Amino acid sequence: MRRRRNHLLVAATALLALAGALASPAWAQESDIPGVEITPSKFMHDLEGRDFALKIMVVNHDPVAHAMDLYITGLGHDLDGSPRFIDPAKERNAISLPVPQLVLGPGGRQELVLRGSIPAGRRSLYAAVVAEFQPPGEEATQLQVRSRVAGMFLLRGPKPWIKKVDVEDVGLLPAEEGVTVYAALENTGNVHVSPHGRVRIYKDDVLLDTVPLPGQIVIPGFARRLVGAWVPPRNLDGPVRLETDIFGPEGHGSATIYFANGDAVIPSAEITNLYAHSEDGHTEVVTLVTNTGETPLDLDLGIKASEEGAVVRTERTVADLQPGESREVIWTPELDDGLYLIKARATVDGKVLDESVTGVEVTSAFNWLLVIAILSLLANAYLLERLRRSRKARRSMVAVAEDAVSERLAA
Amino acid sequence: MRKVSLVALIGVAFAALFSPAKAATQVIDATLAPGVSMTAVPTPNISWALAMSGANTTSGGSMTVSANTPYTVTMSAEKDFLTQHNGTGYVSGGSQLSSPLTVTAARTGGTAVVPGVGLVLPASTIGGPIGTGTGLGTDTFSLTLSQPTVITDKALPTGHTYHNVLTYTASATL
Repeated sequence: MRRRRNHLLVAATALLALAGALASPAWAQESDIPGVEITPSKFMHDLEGRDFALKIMVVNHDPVAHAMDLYITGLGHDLDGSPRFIDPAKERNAISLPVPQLVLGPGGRQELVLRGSIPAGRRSLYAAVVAEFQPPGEEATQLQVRSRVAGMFLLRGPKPWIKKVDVEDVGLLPAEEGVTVYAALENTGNVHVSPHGRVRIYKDDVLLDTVPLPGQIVIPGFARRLVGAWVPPRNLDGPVRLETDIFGPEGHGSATIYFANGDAVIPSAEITNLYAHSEDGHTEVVTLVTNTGETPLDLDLGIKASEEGAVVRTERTVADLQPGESREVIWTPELDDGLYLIKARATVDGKVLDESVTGVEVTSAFNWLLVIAILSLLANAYLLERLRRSRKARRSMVAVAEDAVSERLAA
Repeated sequence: MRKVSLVALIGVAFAALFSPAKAATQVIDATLAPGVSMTAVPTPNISWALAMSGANTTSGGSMTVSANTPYTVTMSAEKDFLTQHNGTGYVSGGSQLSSPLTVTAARTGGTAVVPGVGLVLPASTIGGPIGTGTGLGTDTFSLTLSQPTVITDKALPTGHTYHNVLTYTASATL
């Protein structure tokens, strides 16, 4: 009996081995990774001091060589947590890349050490290293395409850390099934945090439901929504109160949402464009906001320009927008030379509906008039000096001639 | 005393005999960091002749994302709308199309156990996510470009095109 079982075991193992051998080529093919890789793609570390050296690896898995540009961007996120690679940004001065370009042959890999320091006065640094590449042999046509892979760095430096969030808004968003309950938090501290929370939903002071809000990373100076799913009871009508508690760090917020026949009345707006450009010291910020909901909005669009976390210029526009209507705002702030973070935020009655960021570098115009004036002054001075010397030389020649004449006369 | 020395010598000899086995021991601590890889999205190498009015659709190629961690692919554009370009640069004060270009990413294959999700996104300078996935495999997305035109969109002189630059960025999720 045991021998028979052993035979069966051997046969099963052989069959498995055969199946594995037959399956392995297909499996190997499927597991092949194409493209350009950057590792680590996310690096979170608490440093002892301010200085750091980060090791990254760039790998070309493609069968063709890739030439790529490497650069540093700032790192932020939108309300939904989608990463934003802010370029230009101050962070590029805090991290030095050993090479700005890289060429990797098929299967090639390159290890790079990024050295840097958390700037004085700051307790954290949020940046990304980006490898940008294009398919070989492609030429620019109507639509040019750039492909990038990014490695993100979330570094906390020496303490004291301030871990603080403000609950800016609590509300509901449309979802495929039911609604999405959210709490929008702004990190007002000096390091990133990963808060979580819950929303208790009341109708006429009766608890209808408690929705958990899983934890998410929030970078200092940025806002993010913690979200949970909720299916409201059918035929829900009238006001519903949302009470939100946030933990790690703590925060609290509440809101009242109106329902009509089971449907929430949800204001919704989107900042569809934000573009900042500076030329010869003249800066222009263009943004477009759209009412994407089904109710009219009395919308407040705020734009801020900040440098090193300090807000230096602000702009506020109030717009009445019907559903589907858009408003373009053009802002020309007076900004000194430097790198600025531009942040636009759309709110209704203090409720944050959307937020977006971009970066801009301001460089003053090169003053050609001043250069021409200085050059003409120098030229004038040179000509005057030559004139003075030639007069002096002429005077001395005349004196010599006069002396010679006097001598001859005397003789 | 001699006996003690002899015992010590034998001890050393034994230690020497066993030491090669100890030297052969290797302690390996391997770390596997989160990694994200993406194939280059091809430039649509075509002369995209847009109809005077209506929907215009063309293939934007495909991209494959491989990751051992949850990932996001974002897409942003140099301009909010396709803008007049003379072959070397954008024309100052030039025309632009009245509607934004829309990119649709649809998953067409891959090995990820939980398939990634492709999204629809109008091209803008802000940008946003065009695809997300939980990783642990590959996701291939086909890209479709849609550019509506209307009769008020101005025809351009020869040599000029409506131009834009799209940037796709793959990264881990935050």
